[in-house]
Amino acid sequence: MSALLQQAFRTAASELGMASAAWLFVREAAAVNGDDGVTALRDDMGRLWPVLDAVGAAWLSGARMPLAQADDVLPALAGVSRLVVIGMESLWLDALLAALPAATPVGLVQHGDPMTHWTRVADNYHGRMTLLQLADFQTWAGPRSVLMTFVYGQSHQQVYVLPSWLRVCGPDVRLQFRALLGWRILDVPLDIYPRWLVAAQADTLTDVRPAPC
Amino acid sequence: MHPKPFHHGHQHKPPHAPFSASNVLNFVDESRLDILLAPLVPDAADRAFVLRCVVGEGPLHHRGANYILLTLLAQAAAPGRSAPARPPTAGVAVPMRLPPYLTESVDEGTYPLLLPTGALLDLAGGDQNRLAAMIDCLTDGPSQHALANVIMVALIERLLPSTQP
Repeated sequence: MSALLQQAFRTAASELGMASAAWLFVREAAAVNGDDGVTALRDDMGRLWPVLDAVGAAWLSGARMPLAQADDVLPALAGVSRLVVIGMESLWLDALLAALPAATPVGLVQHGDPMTHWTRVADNYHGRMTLLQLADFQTWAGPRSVLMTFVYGQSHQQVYVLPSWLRVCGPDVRLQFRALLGWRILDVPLDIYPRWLVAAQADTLTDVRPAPC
Repeated sequence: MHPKPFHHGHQHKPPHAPFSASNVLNFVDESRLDILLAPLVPDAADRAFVLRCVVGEGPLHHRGANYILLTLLAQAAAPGRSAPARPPTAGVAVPMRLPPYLTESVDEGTYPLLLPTGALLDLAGGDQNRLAAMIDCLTDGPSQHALANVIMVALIERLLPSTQP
């Protein structure tokens, strides 16, 4: 059972994003067995999936909704002519795309878990999202272009982000985009070693929204 | 080998020890430079981007030098001391250093600041080829250098007497 569940979670995480898939699984576990179900889910899968563990911890602390408010980042995207997203988190992107002006192009860099079926991911957005490659995402560079990624945790001078972020935030790219925006999507500490994520210097981002508490 | 003679009035000091990385940029006040550059780059978000390029990122000594030179020049060219403050309305675009294989595919690959060419054309004696070579020199290389060059030329233009009748 556990292996099947692990496989199912990885599949979901590869296309929805780890935090988005985590909320899905935690809600289902709670619907079936309440807090005991969430506790068992954390115990069974938490060490392998620290984001799932953190979302489970948030649930057990009383949280019932993810922090997925486009208003958190919309002010930082005012006047932007292009948005390039690094990493996939469907709950957050759904909210953002619903609020972002329809004329603002949004690109998603295809880099991450090799399991990800990028075409299927993009199809969910009905043409609203353009798939980009590591080799060509800089065609979207410009003084009104923004690079954005998801921040899963922050401590001191470090942020926990997807490894893809380190592939794109080099010193050449940094000065080709107006801002490098981090969208902080978890507000509980990652208690488990954050495998699947990397600790990057916080100053690889020029802005983090919402600001850490 | 004879020891060097001691000269009165000369202190033979050990080589200068560099400041620590955490202290060497203590004098940089981005908000001050931001105010001084506002006439040149009116849009606040554009200006924040340009400031990040010239004093926010890159080698420490270049960031410090850029801050000093740009601040002093901006002070010298501040409104009331020369021509009215306004952003250059004519000039050439400053390209981002994108991978060469992408340059033809990029729609907005320039910085939000123009390199004014009036003073440069005078310096070139009206020769367009020389002007083009000057533009090449000023805008080539890392954006930290190129943008600082462009801002300096824009500020220096304000300090020069107008050649317009």
